[in-house]
Amino acid sequence: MKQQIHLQAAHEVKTVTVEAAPDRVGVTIDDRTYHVVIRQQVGNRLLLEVDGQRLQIYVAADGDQSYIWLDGGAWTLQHVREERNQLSGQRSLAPNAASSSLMATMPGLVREVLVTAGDVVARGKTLVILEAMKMELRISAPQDGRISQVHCAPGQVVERNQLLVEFGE
Amino acid sequence: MFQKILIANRGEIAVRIIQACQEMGIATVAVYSEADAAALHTMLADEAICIGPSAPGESYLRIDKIVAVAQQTNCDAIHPGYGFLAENADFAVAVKAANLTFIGPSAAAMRIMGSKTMARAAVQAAGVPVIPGYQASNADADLIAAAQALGFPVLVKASAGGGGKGIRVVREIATLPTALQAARREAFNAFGDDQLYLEKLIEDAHHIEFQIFGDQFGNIVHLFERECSIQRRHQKIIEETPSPLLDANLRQRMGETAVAAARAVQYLNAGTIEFLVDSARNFYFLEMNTRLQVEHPITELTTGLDLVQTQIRIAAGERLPFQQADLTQRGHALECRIYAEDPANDFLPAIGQIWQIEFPHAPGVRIDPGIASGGEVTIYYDPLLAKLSVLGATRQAAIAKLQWALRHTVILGNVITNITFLRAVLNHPTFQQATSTTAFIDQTFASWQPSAGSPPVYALIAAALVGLQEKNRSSPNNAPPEMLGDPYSPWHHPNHFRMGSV
Repeated sequence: MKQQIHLQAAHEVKTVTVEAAPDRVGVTIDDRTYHVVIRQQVGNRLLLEVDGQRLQIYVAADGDQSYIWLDGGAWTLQHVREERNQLSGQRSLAPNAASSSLMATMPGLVREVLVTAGDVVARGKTLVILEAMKMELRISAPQDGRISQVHCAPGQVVERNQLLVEFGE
Repeated sequence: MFQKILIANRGEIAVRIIQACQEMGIATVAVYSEADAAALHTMLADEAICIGPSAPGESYLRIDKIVAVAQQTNCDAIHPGYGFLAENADFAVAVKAANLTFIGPSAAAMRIMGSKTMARAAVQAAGVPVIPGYQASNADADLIAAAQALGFPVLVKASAGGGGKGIRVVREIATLPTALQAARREAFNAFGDDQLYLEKLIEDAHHIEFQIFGDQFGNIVHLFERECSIQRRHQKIIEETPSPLLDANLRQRMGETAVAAARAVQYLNAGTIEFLVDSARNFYFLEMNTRLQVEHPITELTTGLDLVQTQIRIAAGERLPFQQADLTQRGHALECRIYAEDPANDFLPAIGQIWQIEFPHAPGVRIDPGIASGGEVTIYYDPLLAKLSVLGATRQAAIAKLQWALRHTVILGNVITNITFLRAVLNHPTFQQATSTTAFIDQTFASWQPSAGSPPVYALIAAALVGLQEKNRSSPNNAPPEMLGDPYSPWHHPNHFRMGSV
């Protein structure tokens, strides 16, 4: 019996099929099957042998995310419930050019909010000043327009991509 | 010798100082903010005292609280590390007033070297070459006339400057008046002081600094140079010693000049004289850092000395245990700084959890960790996670060792680091040929992005195996019978199993 799991990295979803046998596991990706032996697993560390190649891989799961360290590189994979080709990639995290909302480009502390709802601002005007790790970052208006809503206040801690300010008509 | 030292810092430098104290049999007191309740430095010290909320202004910068803790815990001395209060003369004064020893220079030397214009004047009087400049008057008309006499490009700088604030590069006379106005405003907002001065801009320079040490008996020596030209936006990321640029003659002249600059302020304890070296190999005093430097490990690796322990001994009144003629360098050392920052997002700070961190072990590899497994990176402090330093017989061997060490540094967590970027810089021919100047990173890596390719198939395999373990553990009925029936199956041993071992 086989089990399947769907993993998304960047905009691509890969289906991985795992079939366990007594002495090893067959893992199929893109029609190619790899023979995998788990030599050791201690905490987050896996010692694998994949088609005879020895590998040390660190894996941690956090909700639907898997964080992987392998050969000096770090990767984040998202577990998706079913196969969706390119679908999730359309869900862009950053605002696009036509967007009327401004997000935090880094996690940080809101140092100053320089506008209130109703203000009319010119492109380039600093709206919010964020601070993290001694670094100050100015979030400026990407366009001329009127501020419809302000979603942050001085002293607040915001996540990356959290909505800060919205433009309206 | 001191019985107990308070470390007024956090992160890797606090860890480094605690370790030095432990070797010397000195007890340690760590101070920490609320965000650092479980930070590595608080776990390693003998005592750890919370001094306030997470914002540095309410904790690590609170002179009153830190001095009070040192008194309450019966410390004899305070080590300030670098950053925070390390170059704050008022702190040094407060420490002394509380009958404690400040492990560092005198407040007077800190004040002179803390002012760009006073420092220039002091070292110039001692015959040290400074960057051609003008600081005689603060009036716009005088500054404009002086800029014409110096020749463009010039740098407009704030006398009270620091952190890149109040600095303008001006390439032609037409833009100078506007630049003066903007720099004045920025300097006033940042420092409450709108005094400006001019320096000739030295382009394609090397940033080379000399480690110096002075004791209470007037002995001052230098411990050779560190080449710090690999900078991204004025932040050093890779340092090395010896500098590939210097020959024995230039090294000796710069070293003697560094000692003269330190002598100009009767310098005590560890300090660093920073120089710019231009393409014609002229060198100029840039500034003095009146503290231990982040990149001190490469000096320790090549001289075999322990700078932190030496700092403590000097502060306790001992003589320098070496003279200039005793000091030599061996091999080639490199250091790189592992930061929590996102190379794909303009190197902005990254935060999050580090579930597991594993450092490589090999001859000549040194780790200065600021965080341990289970640690958290917050928005409040410098994003330096650890320093990785290596010692090789040659520069080439050191580069290969550092590449190996970075490749084997495991950081498992949802924090993004600059490791891929560091590896790319080390791989670059300009770096390998040792021709990089301070302009190298900003010019060569301006639009650099980590490769956004698909993850290796091995990553998918590992994620799938662990993902299915999780899934089957949460609902074992869904696990395929052959997995459940197999005594050797990994699915039965979710936490700790060993296969292949006898």
